[in-house]
Amino acid sequence: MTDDELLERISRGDVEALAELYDRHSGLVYQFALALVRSRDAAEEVVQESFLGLLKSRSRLASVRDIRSYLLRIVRNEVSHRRRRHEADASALEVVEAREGLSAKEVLEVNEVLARLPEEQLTVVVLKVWQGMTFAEVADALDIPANTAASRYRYAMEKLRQWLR
Amino acid sequence: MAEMKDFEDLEAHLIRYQPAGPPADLRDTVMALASQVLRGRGLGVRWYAAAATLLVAFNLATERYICSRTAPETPCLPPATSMSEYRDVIASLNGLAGEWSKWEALLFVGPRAPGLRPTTPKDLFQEWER
Repeated sequence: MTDDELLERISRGDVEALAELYDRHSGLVYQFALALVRSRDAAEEVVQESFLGLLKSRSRLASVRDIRSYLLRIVRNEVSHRRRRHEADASALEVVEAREGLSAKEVLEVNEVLARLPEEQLTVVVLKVWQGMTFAEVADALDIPANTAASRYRYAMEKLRQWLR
Repeated sequence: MAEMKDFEDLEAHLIRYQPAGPPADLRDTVMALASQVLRGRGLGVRWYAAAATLLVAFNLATERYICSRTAPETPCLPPATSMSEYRDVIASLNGLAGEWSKWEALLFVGPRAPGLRPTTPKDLFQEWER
């Protein structure tokens, strides 16, 4: 079933379709939220509110062209609401977590390096590197020109290359 | 080109650190909340709160009015008001408030009804159930 078909079912209030969409895109939503709020707990809240927001606005889903961009816009709105409510983002970045094959030292080092990137560059890196999105897709999701997405990526990667040397 | 090659190598390095998705139990939470959203539970809670506020305000206003017209020196209870009359008022809000208004009646309205005091909450609730 395509994303469009899922959206059509969600617009009719089909929770099973929402579950399927969640399975496909929650990783993207979570990683993007992590880049913005910089803590796993806060990112989980944003994921939850974003998918519920999608359901609450289901009457508008018929006009959605690209669900990934649409979801990322919802995430950005949700994070903006959090900031207006003065829910501060974490000062220390918790994007990368320890798991098998990664030492605690490596995780700490990568988190520290990613934390030094400005938010607008980190979000581009997350979408381009971890989600495999093209610059055009990144640009659409972030409402910026494709050239800007490419330049932010270049700046970020140059810095990361130096810092991770 | 050398720079892009460097970036490709760096991307390959960074991919090792890609976070997993959200924890599995978050999916269950989201779906449970989604079901509530579709049932209108979120809206319902707001209706309950609004109905409760209106009801309390109505009771206080009514009581104040009746007291002002009757005997201010006696305990301020509406002398001519029976439990059945209160029940009619509550019933008119039942469509909005459902079970909740029964408890609201127990807590706010019931104790003000004459002929039912002294009573325990349990007695009052049984009275309501009849």
